[in-house]
Amino acid sequence: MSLLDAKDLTMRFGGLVSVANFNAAIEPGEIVGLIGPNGAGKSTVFNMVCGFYKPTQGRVFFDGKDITGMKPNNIVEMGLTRVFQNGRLFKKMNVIENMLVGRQRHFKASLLDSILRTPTYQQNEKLAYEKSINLLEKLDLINYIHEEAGKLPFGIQRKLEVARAMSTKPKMLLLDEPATGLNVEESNDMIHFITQLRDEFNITILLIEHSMRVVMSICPRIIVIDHGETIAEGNPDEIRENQKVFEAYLGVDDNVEN
Amino acid sequence: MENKNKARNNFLTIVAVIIVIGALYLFQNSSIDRYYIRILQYWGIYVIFGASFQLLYGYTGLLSLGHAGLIAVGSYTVAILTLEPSVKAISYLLRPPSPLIANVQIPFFPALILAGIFSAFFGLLVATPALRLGGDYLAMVTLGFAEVIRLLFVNLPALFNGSMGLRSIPQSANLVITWLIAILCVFVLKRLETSNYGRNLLAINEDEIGAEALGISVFKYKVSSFVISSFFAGIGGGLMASMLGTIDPNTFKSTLTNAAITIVVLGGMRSMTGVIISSGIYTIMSEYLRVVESPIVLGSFKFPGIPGARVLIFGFMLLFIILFMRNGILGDKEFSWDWLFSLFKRRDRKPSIVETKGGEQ
Amino acid sequence: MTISSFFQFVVLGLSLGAMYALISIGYTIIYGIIKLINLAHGDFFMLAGFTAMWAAIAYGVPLALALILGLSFTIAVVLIVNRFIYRPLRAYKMAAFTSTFAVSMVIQASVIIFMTARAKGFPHPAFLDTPIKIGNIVIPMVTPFIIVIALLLFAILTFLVNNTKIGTAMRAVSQDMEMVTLMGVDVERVIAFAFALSVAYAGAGAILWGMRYPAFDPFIGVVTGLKGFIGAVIGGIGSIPGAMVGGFVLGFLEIMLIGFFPEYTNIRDIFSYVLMILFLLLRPGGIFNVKVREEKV
Ligand SMILES: Nc1ncnc2c1ncn2[C@@H]1O[C@H](COP(=O)(O)OP(=O)(O)OP(=O)(O)O)[C@@H](O)[C@H]1O
Ligand SMILES: [Mg+2]
Repeated sequence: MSLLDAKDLTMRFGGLVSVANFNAAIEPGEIVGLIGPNGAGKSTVFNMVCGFYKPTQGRVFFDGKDITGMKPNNIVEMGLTRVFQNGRLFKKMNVIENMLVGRQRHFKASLLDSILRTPTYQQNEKLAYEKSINLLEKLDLINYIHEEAGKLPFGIQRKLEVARAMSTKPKMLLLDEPATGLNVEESNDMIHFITQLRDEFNITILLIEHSMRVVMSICPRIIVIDHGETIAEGNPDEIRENQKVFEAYLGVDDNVEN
Repeated sequence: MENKNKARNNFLTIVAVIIVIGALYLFQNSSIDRYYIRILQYWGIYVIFGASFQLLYGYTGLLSLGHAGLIAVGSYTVAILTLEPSVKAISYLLRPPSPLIANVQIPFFPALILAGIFSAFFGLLVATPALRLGGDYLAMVTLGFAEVIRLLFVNLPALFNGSMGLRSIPQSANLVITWLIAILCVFVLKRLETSNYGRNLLAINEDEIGAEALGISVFKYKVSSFVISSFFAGIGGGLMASMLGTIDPNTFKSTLTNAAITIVVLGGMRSMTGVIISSGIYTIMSEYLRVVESPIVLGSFKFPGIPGARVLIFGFMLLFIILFMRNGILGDKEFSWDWLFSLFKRRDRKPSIVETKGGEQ
Repeated sequence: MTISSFFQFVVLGLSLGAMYALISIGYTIIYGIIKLINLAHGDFFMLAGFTAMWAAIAYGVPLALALILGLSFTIAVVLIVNRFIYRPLRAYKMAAFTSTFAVSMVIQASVIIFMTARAKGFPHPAFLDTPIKIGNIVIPMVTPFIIVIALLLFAILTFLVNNTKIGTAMRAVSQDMEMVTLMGVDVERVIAFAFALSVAYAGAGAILWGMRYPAFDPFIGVVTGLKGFIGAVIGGIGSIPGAMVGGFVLGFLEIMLIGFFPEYTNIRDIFSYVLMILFLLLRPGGIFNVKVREEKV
């Protein structure tokens, strides 16, 4: 059974159709790329899947359950976490605090516990710290642990945001252009980072990315959308040779290798 | 982060609290002018108003204009529950007291807890509809609540004795009790603020959508922080009723809301030390500026007094702080013993007194 | 209740509603553009009316001139406040919001100090007192006068918003601020205009209010401001036609409540408040079902 199953997702804003009949079935452990030119509707797909937009039509199933119209935070509870395109770190909090907020759903202490600092609270807090530190170590972010998130180098901020999403312990991650705005070195680092997530945590990923280079090197399967329509699906070689994809990207060629 | 000096610091804190309470006790039993005792007691009560408002305003990032209304609920609860039945029978002049309350009398402390609970309940009633669409409407909805609650007092004379208000409320809360409870409130609120709960509130304050995408139920956190804030406002209100001995609907005008806002903005959005300091400043200012509002006669020269001067001064002060010193006096810095000791040591290493960060401003 | 007294209540309700609507419009315009509830809006309403009244009574300024003075003074104040307080705080939502509250404190206190705290009789031309007789009911001229003037002002507003350059810019800014900035529209000018407009309409409401209910005091902005807000919620915040309709509906229902249940006259404010809560719970988009725009994430 697919982990994520999007059926006929459609999103209309007034007269504008942002996404039309989007279908995707993603198996556990897969890394799938979602690409398309600017304004194609990629982020809108994420927003519908994660409950930020209510799809005009269609349904989303995750882990066998219908999650259409559920609230974003409840979808996270089910094990599906997304990372935003434009970065939504808590910039004035430090790195570990960002991670700890991500841990919240595993926190099992009541308000009374936290007022009295009961053993339950202390264990929870200790566990949260340990797990977060552990994750930061594995992902090579531990050196920044006490730094203010907003003051980190941009590449590190992007990594931290993925790490923070990981601290919710998801079954599946949705990454929206994690490598945008990164230089070649940083973006290689990001490629390594995502591969590492797959290998170490065996996590399922749906990845939006502008940079063909990044997508092609990570994703064995790629879905291409343009003007909201799905125009192609296949492995990197098939996508490279697909005429429709070529046309969609024509004229925005400079974007292909940024 | 483990602090090596934790045991020492806790000990010092306890000693400091004992000293303060001891001093207040001596003060209370001295022959000093009652007027000064009253000012100190007001200070303690304003600390509670400010501290309860801080959770909502400084942490969650919500502006409420209903604090006066919630305080009123707490005040009336304590007043009605502690008034002697015989006193009620005489003082309810407009209507005889409703059988619901006519023969009720309970001791002060349970009444105070109930004051908090009632306020929290009203907080829940108001916050739930107001926060369904985010936080933008909260200010107006709570402002309306503060008006409506006063109308209810006036229009339900069998319960609240209308605009005559309530008199001869037993004055159980003396200076020492007031401050003990104020310290307890500050302690509990600070613990909440520095726990995972407060951390999540700050996350919501900084980026609601980001927090929601990490599984945080923004609505629940907003409503619960409003309810908790209301609970403590009610406690403060209960103490105030007991201090004043006389309350009526006009006791709970927007001045109390202004006070809570000013105290938090002035003291620092996330500093309890700041709240304690600025409550003191506010209490003293509003007491001494009273002079400006009332006529003064100096020999044959009569100075008419300027009604409204206090509100004008506080209004300008609020604007000034918001525009030019956005962090207030202390921002998010908290007093700590380590910081105090570092002042006396050689300047080798100054521990930061910063506790938590985040949120807007 | 007889048919004729019912008709009388309808007219009274519509005239009260017209005044509420004039206030509601300001909340909706400003919220639509910068997502800010101007907590001082009710006090600008009061300031316009009070200044006009004060000029006429204390300085004997001719009424027409006094009204113009009241309006233009209040518009000048809101422009200054916007330029030197709201605008520098635009990037800090909480600070900006709180500053609108501080401004409300300052306006109220200033009026008390520099004008007076006591309610004064609002001056109005004598012809407004002329009773109109229709069948066996009598209504004072002032009520239809209010309705007519308000409708005229609504027509002007509708034209302004839909058919002028600045109106179009205003609608565009409320649709997509970033886009409009990119297109080279001077957003700050549009915001300033919106503030002036919101206060002008509230001020007109205040003048009509004063002619109907001459006891005009410095605290009047609190409850009437709240009523204006409730009207905006009923209509659907963000929609200008919504604000007009919402204001009318609120005024109408309030008068009907008093008409049918005179014993509830004292609690009509509670009634309006409960009405707002019900709308927030059951139909948060108001009568016009204004969709909270899906925030782009
Ligand atoms: N909340 C919204 N309201 C109105 N239109 C929207 C909204 N969200 C997205 N759109 C529109 O939907 C279309 C698709 O946007 P989307 O953000 O999904 O594109 P994208 O593929 O992610 O583009 P990019 O590569 O630039 O991130 C765009 O035309 C956008 O303007
Ligand atoms: Mg996108």
